[in-house]
Amino acid sequence: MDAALSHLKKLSTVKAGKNIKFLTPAVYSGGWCPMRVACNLAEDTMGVSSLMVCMPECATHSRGSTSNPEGPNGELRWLYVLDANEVIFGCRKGVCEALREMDAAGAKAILMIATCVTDLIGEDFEGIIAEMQPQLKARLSYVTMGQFKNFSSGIGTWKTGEAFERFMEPREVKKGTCNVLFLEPWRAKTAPVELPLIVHALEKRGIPVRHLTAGATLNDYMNAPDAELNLVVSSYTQPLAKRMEEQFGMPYAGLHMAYSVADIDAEYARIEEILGIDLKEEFAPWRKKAIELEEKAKTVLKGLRYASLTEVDMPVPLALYLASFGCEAMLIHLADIHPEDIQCAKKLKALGFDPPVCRIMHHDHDIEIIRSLAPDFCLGYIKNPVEGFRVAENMNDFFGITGYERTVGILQRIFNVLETGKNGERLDIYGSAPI
Amino acid sequence: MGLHRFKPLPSGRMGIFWTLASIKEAAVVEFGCMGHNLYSGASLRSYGIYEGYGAPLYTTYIDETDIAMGDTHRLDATIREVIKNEHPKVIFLQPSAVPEVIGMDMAAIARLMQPDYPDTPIIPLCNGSFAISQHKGVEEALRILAKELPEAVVKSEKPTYNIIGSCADLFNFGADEVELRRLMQGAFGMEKICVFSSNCSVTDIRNMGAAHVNLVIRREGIPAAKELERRFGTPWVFGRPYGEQGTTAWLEKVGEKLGKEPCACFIKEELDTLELMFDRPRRTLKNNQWSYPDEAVLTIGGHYDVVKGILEYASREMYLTPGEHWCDCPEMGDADIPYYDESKWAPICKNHEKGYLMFSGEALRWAGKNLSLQISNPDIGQRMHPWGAPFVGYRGAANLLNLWINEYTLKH
Repeated sequence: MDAALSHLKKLSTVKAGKNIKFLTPAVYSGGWCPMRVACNLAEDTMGVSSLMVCMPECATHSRGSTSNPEGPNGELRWLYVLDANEVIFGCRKGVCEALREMDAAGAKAILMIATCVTDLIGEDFEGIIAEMQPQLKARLSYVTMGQFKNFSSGIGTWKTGEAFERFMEPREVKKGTCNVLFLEPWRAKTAPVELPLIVHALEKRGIPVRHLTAGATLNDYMNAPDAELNLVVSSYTQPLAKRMEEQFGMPYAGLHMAYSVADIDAEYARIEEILGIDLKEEFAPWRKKAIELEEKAKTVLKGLRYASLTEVDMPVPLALYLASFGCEAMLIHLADIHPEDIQCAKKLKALGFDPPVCRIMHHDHDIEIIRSLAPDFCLGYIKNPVEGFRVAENMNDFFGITGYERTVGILQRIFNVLETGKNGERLDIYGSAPI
Repeated sequence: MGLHRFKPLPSGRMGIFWTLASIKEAAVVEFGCMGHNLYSGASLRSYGIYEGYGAPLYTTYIDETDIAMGDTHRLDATIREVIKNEHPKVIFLQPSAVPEVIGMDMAAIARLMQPDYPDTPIIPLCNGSFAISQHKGVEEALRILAKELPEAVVKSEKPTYNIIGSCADLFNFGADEVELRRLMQGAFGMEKICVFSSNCSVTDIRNMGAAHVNLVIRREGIPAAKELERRFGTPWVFGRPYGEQGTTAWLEKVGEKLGKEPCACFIKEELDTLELMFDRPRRTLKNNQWSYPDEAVLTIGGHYDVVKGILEYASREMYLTPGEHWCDCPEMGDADIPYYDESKWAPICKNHEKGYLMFSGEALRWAGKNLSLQISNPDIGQRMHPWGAPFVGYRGAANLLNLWINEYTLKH
């Protein structure tokens, strides 16, 4: 391994986030903490109020400059700030009183968000809910977001998703209905949420699809257990799907893990079976294009080496897919490791690949180290383009997108970069397949 | 602290961080989790302290094992990397909330590390604790830097000055600084050495002792000014110049310390310009106060010194009557300008109908009031540059009157 990477661990040996080392030690300038993710997701969900339980730093920074203490539909976004005494002796009494006030003020559901110090002192939110829920009309849930054990916004997203499960209630299952689970804490603020074509295909066939995404309501979450199937389109919502499977017996389709045409075929066949529908001709042009690009990949990508930078969704499952063409990930930025990453890492190793993993925390500096490794191409974010350094950028475009269209988009973008040094146009999944 | 609907009073750590971040040739290293560093950077950008302006902001991150074991290896590695990458003249070291809770002794750690980096002073600023507010943090940062950094230098040949207390956390600090410098140039022909800390470098702070007078524009700067007086014998003037008469009086006070009269021509030219400009709007405010005294009331909240200055200008020179007024710092509140928390100011803002309401952008927006009357933080927008209209000085007097007459026009 290159000397600059010698301190890093190989993917197969990483079992927890704390095993992922920084590429270089100094963090510039900070990193998204999961607290803000929870705030954004709560703000994006109509009817959900939030109570930050935190220090003044988190209270201040939990509010964007445009945030108001009340949402447009009466949601409350209140802050419980610990004083020096509560840091030592706990804040249970104060939090309980705050919940009573929010309940009296009309909150329908309250997500308590605990940050670093609250998490560190071990305040017992399960106990608070056990004590307070019988006394209040508002439904209560919580997330603990101490960044010292929740490194990234990804963990913040999936933990918040799981916490929303507490707002759900058992419902009678309606045949031929489903939910699509996609939580995205940032992009919903600046761009419309794009869902994969499978969602539109189902809706076209008269299957009601409840969108548990930005803009969903508290009622959507409360009623979610009435669906027959959950469609998971992002690794961040798989834990919510698992929780719903445990609590309500709802099956889910993990569409986000299927990159190859064969895997996508299998997932779609499962959906057809559960919902009793036929999807086959719906995606024919995209499927045909995906097959064509996979054929090309077998020759073009074979023997190439790439580095996966920041802002690549599910870099380990993607590395496994690209490895199937003989394309080697030589370095992967991995903010956190998910259970499915560990499974993929085993398969990667079986194929003969075991890349070092790192956290890129000082972009400008770290990118120079990565350039020195001379990869054939990179995936992810680069601040300023560098002549001769080929980077397939805007990989976030594929976050939440699944199916043949994602496979086409990713492979096409890699080929564009390899052939022209440019990314080409943004993939329009709602347009016709790029034949 | 308890339950809040609005942003709470920032912590001492935040005050310290915002004071340090604008200092060029330095680097800030925060030991702790990363979010505070990132979000503070975002706040600073909205204040006009963007990346590349002042000190690069680094953090170490800290995980469960570090906390359990009291392990500080990340700090050592980060400092080494920062020195390699940035070549700072000074590193400011600050703990975030978690190391504060577990009681890591940052001062001792800095002392232990210092011999490894003999060319780069490492200055710990650890007094954030959980009991002090943003304002005390600013005071602490200014005081420590004034004690640690200035070097023994001779007074400059031409008279010079320092501004103490222009810091990024104060709303409109950039425009106010520009006006103060214009006043000092116009009235005394003087150049600044150091605008401490919103527009300075480590070199500027090291040279502060060469100045002939220190202008302390917020009370948090007084301990720093006293420190500089003790070491260099530099006299200091405390106060913010508001209004025509207020600005002239301030210049005269500075002149007394310098043993030099402010330039009469400059003052006359400024006052003559304002006199013509102010004539009609001032008469409007005067008539309004005479006929509708309940409409001529100024309700105002913010930093103690800002509230005091604007209120004096409004009531002594502009026919506005002081209404409810408050400051945003519990340690500063007194009988003249009490401290109000949100339980007191929120209903005042919400129910405000007649007169003029000047306060934070956050509160004005929430209450649906005129946002152009913002005079304090929390802000709701971006202040990318310092070229807006000031509140202080002669030009500030014009700006404030312009705001009030526009508000009068809107309501009539």
